[in-house]
Amino acid sequence: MKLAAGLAALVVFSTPTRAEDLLLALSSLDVTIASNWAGADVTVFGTVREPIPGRAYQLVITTRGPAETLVVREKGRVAGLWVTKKNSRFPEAPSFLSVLSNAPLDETVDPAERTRARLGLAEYARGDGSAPQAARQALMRLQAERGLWIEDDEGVSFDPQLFHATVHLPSNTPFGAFEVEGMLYADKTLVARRTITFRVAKAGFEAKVADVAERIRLGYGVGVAGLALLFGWAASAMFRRD
Amino acid sequence: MQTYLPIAELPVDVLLVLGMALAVGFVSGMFGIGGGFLMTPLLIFIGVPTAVAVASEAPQIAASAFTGVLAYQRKQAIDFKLGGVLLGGGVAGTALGVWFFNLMRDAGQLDAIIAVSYVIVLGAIGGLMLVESTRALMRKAPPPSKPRGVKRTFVDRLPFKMRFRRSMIHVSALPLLALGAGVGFLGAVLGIGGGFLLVPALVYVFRVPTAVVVGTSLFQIFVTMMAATVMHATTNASVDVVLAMILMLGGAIGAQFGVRVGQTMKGEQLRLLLALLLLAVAGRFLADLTLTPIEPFSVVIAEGAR
Repeated sequence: MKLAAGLAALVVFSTPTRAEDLLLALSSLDVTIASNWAGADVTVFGTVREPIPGRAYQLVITTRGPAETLVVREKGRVAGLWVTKKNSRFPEAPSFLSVLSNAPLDETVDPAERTRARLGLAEYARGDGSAPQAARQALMRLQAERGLWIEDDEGVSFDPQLFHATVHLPSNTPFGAFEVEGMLYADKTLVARRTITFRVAKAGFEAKVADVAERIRLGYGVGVAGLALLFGWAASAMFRRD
Repeated sequence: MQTYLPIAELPVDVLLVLGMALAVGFVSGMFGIGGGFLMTPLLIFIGVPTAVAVASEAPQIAASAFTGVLAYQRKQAIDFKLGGVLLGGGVAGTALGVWFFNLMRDAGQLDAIIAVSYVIVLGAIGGLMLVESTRALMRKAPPPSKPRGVKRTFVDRLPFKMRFRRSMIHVSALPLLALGAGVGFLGAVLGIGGGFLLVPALVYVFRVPTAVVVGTSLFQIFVTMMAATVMHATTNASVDVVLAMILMLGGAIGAQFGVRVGQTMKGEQLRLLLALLLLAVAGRFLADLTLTPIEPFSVVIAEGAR
């Protein structure tokens, strides 16, 4: 969203026990879906407070959309026909996931920390461990194709103190609460961690329609049926020749 | 020109959807069918969720059919009594179809069932119509009008006979109720109005004059789809009014031109074209089922999550 729409900065005060801390802010706390919606960019920016001079920092910014149970279906041949043969469930998987960093993840942390802190798409594709490797790969590949799972180790620009990263929300973005988690590493050790959230929601006409359709179901259905009558009659009245 | 669909939850190109609706509306007006078997796959292809596609196209089919009903009513070419009997069977068939639909969805094989059903139903009807219409076209002279009531079949021996004056038939209500039920069942499972099943059945089995068949079929489709619109809205809240309005606008205009073109053509020619169309759609589903898919995987959000 537009930076001018308001620098909705969430100020997080540093804790006295740590030398470094993170200050995170978002270009927008409310992403609204209106009739011209075609996706949006949310910029995450901020600064490292009280950095130790000369120390190299790696920052990983993970943005997670609402959790869903994702199912990966695999087609197989049964009696000559290609039908769904296997379903692999990924409970509590983020419907949207963007992992941005200023350095490759395996250079940032050790594999154990990577798993513990859940850094990178592969950690989320692990699911509950029941899914086969092929299904995990397919989940990452297909979600990436739809722009829903993104991993970019050049996604964070880091000046000596200021950083910023752009989270691309595609047009098929799920809505709800999105959590942005910034994890600051130095020498493969976590030195600071902050989270901030934003919401993606329908607004205006779109929100009203969805709300009415959900709450006043019968009235909405009868209304649409009435529209059908109106359209059908209008077409007949306009085009009749006899 | 993009617009956001509030229930389908995705932006679509208005002109693309309008164009699709025009084309399907044209076909629908030309053959006196709803066109659901074309629109459902098209909408799913552009990314609309299956449930929303099926539900939002119901009001469009209703609107198109209503236009047709008004036109045929002016020509006195609707047999309301026949339509009523078919609808009576249709209610039972639809209920059974919805039950079967949920059973298959829970078994996780809905896509395959739908694809196989499309291939069998569309392939069989299309094949039969292709053979019949080609034969009719091959004959030099116009075919002699079919003798009525000369050959007695088992259908003629069934009880509860009813006289349908406008259709000029005198048959038992039982096979008509069964036909209505069968169409209702397949309609609920496949998300289609079922006109392409009803028209040939009435023409070939019950020998209703083609002129009356189209109007009556449209009447049956109209009532079924009005009910389906309200049902989808109340059970799943999956009717997208913005999508439905784009579809209705395109469908209503397209149908007008379709009706005109249809009236200038011979019945056999129309049936041959419809046969080819049905076979093409069936072939598309058959290819999906039998050819090795480029991407064997797909990702979906688990049912009931929303």
